[in-house]
Amino acid sequence: MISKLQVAYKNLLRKRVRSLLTLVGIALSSWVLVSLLGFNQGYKTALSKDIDNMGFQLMIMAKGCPYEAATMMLKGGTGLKYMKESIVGEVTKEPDVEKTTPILMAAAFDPNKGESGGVAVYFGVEAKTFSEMKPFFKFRKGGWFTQDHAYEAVMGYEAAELEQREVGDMILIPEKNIQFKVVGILARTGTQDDGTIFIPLKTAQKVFGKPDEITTLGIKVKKGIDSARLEEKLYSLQDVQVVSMAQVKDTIMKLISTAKVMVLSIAMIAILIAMVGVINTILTSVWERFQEIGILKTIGAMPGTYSS
Amino acid sequence: MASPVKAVIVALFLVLGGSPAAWGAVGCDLNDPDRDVARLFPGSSGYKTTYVSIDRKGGEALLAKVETKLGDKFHGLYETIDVPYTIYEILGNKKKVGYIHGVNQKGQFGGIQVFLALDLEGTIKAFYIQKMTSQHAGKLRDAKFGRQFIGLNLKDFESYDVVSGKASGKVEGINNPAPEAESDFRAALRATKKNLVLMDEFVYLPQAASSPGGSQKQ
Repeated sequence: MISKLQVAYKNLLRKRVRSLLTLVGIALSSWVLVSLLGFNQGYKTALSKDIDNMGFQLMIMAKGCPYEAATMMLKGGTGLKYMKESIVGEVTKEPDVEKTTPILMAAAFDPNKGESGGVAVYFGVEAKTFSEMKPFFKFRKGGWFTQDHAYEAVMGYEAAELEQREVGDMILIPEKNIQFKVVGILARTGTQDDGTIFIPLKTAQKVFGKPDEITTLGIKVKKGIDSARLEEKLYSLQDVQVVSMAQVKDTIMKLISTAKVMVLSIAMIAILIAMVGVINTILTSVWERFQEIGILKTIGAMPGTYSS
Repeated sequence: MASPVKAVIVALFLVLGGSPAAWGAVGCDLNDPDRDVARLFPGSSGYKTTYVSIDRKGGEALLAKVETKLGDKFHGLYETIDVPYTIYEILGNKKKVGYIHGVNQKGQFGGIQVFLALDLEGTIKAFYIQKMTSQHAGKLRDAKFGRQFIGLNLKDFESYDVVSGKASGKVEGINNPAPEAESDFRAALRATKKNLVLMDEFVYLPQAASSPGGSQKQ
């Protein structure tokens, strides 16, 4: 008498090609399943990391700003909405606020970028407050601006790579015809900062004709404080909108979960195909042996005999 | 509370903000290959794209050879042995009719991307600066400037000294339309020579070596 496992093993060896093809089918289905789930998880993690690396939990923008900011990024449009820099003082007074960092985002059209021109985006930031929000920033070369009004630039890794800039090189804002000296190149962060050119906030305000104005205020909430409560409080400020990173993250995750359903459906189809394949193989091998077992029975074989 | 729509737009802004994708990698690709290939190679019916790097093609030995032929060392943070180069193999009625190849070059205020359309012998059919940041970029990107390169090949550029900018023969005849931007003009010439040298090493010399007779074309 041989064990059931031995029977199964012997059966696999009886039709080697069939067994191999079944194994390949199972392996391919597993690979599709793991790849799809891995992609889904990786995408989710990367987006989550991108948002966490913003460094702040709340963002204040002038009303209408996010829409136009997105347009500016996607289509090269301009006409951003601005808010007074004095808002920084008002927000900082809030006891729940740990840190703030004002940002002026500006774009300049470069007619010599590609066939029909392109837009270069600049972030006017305060070196001190912005770097506090981004403790993970490391410089590949150089460092932050030497002065608040300096005509100096810090470039993200990919921005510097594309523009072939090194510390000490100059960059030009074509529309304004103003030169900046590159004083720092950031190490790769894997976030949107890699493609960004940072210039001092005060200089950006001067160059782009927006004195005492900003487009965004990043807010870091004190530890243990409910950011939703602060968000509600900040809504009392006039002509601004408060965007919570938690909500942005939630929205993205909801979008991802829709995609996840689709991905899982595809994975389920892959599993079903594999299952049908395996069932088909088993049934075929059983049906093939009906005659064989029948003959054995007619000559007196008992149930235990077939497997021996 | 912020509306979900607003949050989506902000999310879009955050994800696309700074447009890292638009910055591309270290390589040099055509922004719109379908449009650009048709424009740079009139009459072409399609193209195939291949990627090569000095590192994979021949390593340090090839780098040394390229530098010798260029007459200058690869320098800076971004002119490195592992830069991926995109070669567009141009097809006309399913037959190979030429190549388009671009290189990055450090300019005065930013990266310059110089593309050459080459025939099967390595002669320039079209010259195109895809990107250049300069007050005088318009003059150097003008078709009139590019036309001066048509008909030239690596042999013509061999005597061009990329370090001193000294030229002789046909290259000497290339007129700088923007004397104020001399460094960018020189950068464009260095990029052209680098482009021709790389194409010679990546495509023309291996082809000549594998063709019947196996003679090497310079």
